[in-house]
Amino acid sequence: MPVMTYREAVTEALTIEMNRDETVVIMGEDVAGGAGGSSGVRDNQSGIWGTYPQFHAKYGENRFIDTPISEAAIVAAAAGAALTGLRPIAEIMFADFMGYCLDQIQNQAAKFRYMFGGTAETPMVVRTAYGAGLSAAAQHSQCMYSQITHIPGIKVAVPSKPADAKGLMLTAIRDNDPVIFFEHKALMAATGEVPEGDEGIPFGEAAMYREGDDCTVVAIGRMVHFAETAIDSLAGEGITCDLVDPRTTSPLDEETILESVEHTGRLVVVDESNPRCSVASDIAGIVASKAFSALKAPIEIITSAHSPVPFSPVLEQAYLPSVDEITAAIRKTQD
Amino acid sequence: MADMTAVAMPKWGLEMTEGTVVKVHVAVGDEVTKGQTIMDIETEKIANEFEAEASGVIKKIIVNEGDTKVIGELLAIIGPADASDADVDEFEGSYVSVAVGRVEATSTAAPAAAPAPAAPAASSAPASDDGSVKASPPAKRLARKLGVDIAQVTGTGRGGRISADDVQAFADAGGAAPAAEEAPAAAPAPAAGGEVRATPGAKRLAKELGIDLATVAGSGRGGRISKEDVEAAASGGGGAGSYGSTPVTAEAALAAPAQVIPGDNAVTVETMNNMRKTIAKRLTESKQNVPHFYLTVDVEIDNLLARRAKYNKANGTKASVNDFIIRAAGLALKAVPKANVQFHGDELHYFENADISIAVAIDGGLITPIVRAANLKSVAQIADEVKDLAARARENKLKLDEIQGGSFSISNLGMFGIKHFDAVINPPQGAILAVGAGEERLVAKNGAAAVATVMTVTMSCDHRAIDGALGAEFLASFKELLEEPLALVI
Amino acid sequence: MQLSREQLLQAYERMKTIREFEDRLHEEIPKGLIPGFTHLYSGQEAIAVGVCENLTDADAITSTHRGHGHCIAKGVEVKPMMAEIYGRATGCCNGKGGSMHIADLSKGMLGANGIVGGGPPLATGAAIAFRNRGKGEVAVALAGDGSCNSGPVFEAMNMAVVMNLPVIFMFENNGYSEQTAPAYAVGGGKTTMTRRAEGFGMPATSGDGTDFFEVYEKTREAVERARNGGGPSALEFSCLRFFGHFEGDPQRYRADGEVEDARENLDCLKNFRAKVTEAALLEDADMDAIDAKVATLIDEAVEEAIAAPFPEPEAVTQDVYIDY
Repeated sequence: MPVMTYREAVTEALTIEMNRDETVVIMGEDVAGGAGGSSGVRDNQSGIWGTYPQFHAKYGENRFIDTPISEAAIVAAAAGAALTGLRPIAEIMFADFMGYCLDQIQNQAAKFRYMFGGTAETPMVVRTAYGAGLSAAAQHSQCMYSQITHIPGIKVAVPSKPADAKGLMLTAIRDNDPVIFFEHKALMAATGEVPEGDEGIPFGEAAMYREGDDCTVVAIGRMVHFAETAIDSLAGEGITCDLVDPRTTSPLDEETILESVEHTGRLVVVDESNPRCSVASDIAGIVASKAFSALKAPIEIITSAHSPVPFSPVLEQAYLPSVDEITAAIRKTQD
Repeated sequence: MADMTAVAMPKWGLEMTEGTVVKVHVAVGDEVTKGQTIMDIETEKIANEFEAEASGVIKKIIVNEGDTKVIGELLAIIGPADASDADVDEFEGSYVSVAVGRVEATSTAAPAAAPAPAAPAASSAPASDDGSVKASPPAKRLARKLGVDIAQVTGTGRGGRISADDVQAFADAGGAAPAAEEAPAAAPAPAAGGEVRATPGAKRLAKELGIDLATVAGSGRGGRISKEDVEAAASGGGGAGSYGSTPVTAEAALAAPAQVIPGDNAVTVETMNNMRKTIAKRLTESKQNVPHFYLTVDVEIDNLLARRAKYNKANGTKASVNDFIIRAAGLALKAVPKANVQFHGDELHYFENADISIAVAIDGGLITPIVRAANLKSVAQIADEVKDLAARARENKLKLDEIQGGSFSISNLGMFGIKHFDAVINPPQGAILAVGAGEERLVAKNGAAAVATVMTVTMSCDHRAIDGALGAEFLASFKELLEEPLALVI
Repeated sequence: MQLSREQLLQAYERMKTIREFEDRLHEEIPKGLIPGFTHLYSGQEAIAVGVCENLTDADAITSTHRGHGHCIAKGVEVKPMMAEIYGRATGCCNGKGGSMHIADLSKGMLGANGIVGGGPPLATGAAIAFRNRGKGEVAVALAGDGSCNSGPVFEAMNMAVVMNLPVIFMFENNGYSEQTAPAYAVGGGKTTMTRRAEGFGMPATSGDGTDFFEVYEKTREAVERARNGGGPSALEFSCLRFFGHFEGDPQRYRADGEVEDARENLDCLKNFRAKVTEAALLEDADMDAIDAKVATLIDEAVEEAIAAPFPEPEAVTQDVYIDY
């Protein structure tokens, strides 16, 4: 199986769908880059994360659109275009900018189908980069998927591995509901095996990246990698864990999570969000209410701090969950 | 050392962690000016020209074309023309990268100690995935464990996906491969996993113990049966005769298909069904753990038989001898309350009333429904109840509270002509009474020979709860009630 | 450009239908059977109809919270609309949207919108789809003076110019945005939106919103421009709404007699009738017949809506997604 980076996996998915379906269009800031520049060179940025190499040359102005800095208009235009026959992929450069376009996500795109009595389809994707760890500071490091997961009518994908990035992006583009696709900026260079072909990964199906008997660890996005390190380090102590990666937070694969907890009896949830009203507290609540009798120990919830993301690397390290915290939490469930 | 400049891998952009030096445009000894391109460096995303930060002479080049270096790593040194090699080496030696890294998934804890040789090195297995069947990861794991061919399971989960519950239901219905180590017995099992709401743990345990989940009351959310409920159903159980106390269903009692192995003496191998397995397990436990001792008395029952005939005629009932025995035992337990006991580790539980387990033979096994408060019920009531319980036992329609509990058991093999036997106690009960057949025997009365109808009963006692004198006291009371049976019918 | 007799009759009928629909709702709402917020369009009919007479079902419009008139002008059927406003299962949105979210995508009506300024960016998006399709379809954003200061609206206008999109921004200045007049809120005085739009780089013009013919003609130019790849335009037409911001609005911000005066002197239906009869294009009898027909239609619509069943509770979680 080919090995590639997370970013390359996303590119592959975008390419497959852009080639397959001419109603798929991409729009965002500097997706090509160079529009109006004095060098006349387009495709010089290919998106802030380099996920659109040569797309302007390949797909042209009408399908690969550099936009002004207008998040509200970008997302609304994507919604309006989706209502009238296109399959737009809008890029919001940093998830933190959701504030600019939250109305268009929450009040427009999320609700068209419902408000219009099932007569509307809004097949759009908003892809956005999230997460801390690169000292991008408070306004460029947030997660935001917890707030978006809350919204009925929106689907949310948070892939942790290149294979998931590709498979989920294919599904997101083909899905006829609005999807917000969260990609961790610190995972862009992460490598992994990625299957060839164009098979999408269904939403609402978690992956289990480790199997064990003593504890269930549910982790989101980049935290999956942290959890893997923590779990593997416990092998010598004879503690084995299930590692469940929901892959999509909406819809959420409750069944796999609950079945895993019924098998292990213990739960640690790891989420880079801030603690209040996070996906972590949501999952903990679901497990506590639906699998209470299976639990042999209190649920351990690990999130970032209840603070904005600090700039200085030492502080950012302290802000984020750490592998050691996860390991300690797993051990605690065994007491 | 003055004016030496480190040429280090630059950090271009938020994400860059390393770069590859594609081309080096200068050589040692070349003079360079600030801003002059000295290398071409490529990252994952871009290729760019790397410019000298200072003017001077290239004193040393530490990198080769094609090398990949982490940001901050030293690539070359620019210095004054007259700087010596020693100066350069010193500078190089004292160079410390100041590049700031990213927050990585690293553990700062000391590496885990190597496992002791004897310790099983369990590690979380990377999940294996055959990929072809749509099933949740826990479903796949369970299928492997149970030896189920997951491709045959119908999925009722998300989008037709197979869930662990689906696998369990499939296995419960007999779909597991017999060869698998942990596979349940191949006996067609009751459809316990089907419509009954129970946790997978409850279903597993019920299956192991041969309990029909439909007979278990669920105490969980919305009436869901938990493992605890199943355990309660199994362990509280009334004492049985020699055949264990676990409630079983008629279907579960069906033997597995026989398999003939050729040999000199043809042998038929019968795989034990769940009920037999459970009986075997519980009896072994009882014999191994409970300190049994046995007290035997002979009871003359001529008066009882006469009394019974009159009673039945007067009341239009059909009470059996055993119904009188049950009443007698109930009253005797009330008269000797310390014998009405359950053993619980550090505790002895004494009961107000006598809940007596009665062994009922059913197809392929035995079940022990309980006559509650036998001391408070008339013989006629006991007779009705026993008849009803026995009938429902044979139809597999007993309720959990009819088989769970009891402090005393009665097992009667009199109908088979057995004169005397010693029964096995069913924990946590304190005792069990084995009743033999009543038969005419020669007895001595006041020095002369006489004939009486005599029945031998043996009480097995758990010496931790009942000692000899107490057991004897009970039997004395019991015998008296049976030999002077007026008290039984008042 | 001369309109045919059929077109004139249709224009009158549509305007009259809107007027009757809205005036009737004004009477029905106090009876208590209509839930929620309703915002009535009476007085603005010429703008909606003047715009939509230039459009086909394949063209799209976006709307505001005051969207009944836009719907009717775009050809959405009256009875399902009425049922929707009454919250019934037979409503055009199955009772899920109500007055503020009435839509009919088959007629290119992309929905009334409860968010001020929500429509124009959506219309810009539809215009991208139309541009790519290349069939000459256009999108019209019907927006109010209230949205004239909304950031996303400006973003949409700029983006439309940058991408040369077939979208028309029609600003209906109906005298008030909620309880505040644009004279106060929209800096720059009269026809500000026209000049702002020009500032964004698109052609813009303004006119009298009570004159169907002026609306129709100026919209026609803009639509033709868009259809022919000439990019976006903006229009700013003025009128006065006869009712409050919402039904129940005490309208203390309006001088006594303002509404009566408007019904007398700023009534686009009266203006239309006067013009067409004077020019002998139509006769009073033609329009009287339409009046009677519309009155019956509205009566039936209300009756049927009141008799229609409410949606079943299961409908709450239906159509949140296409599949989940």
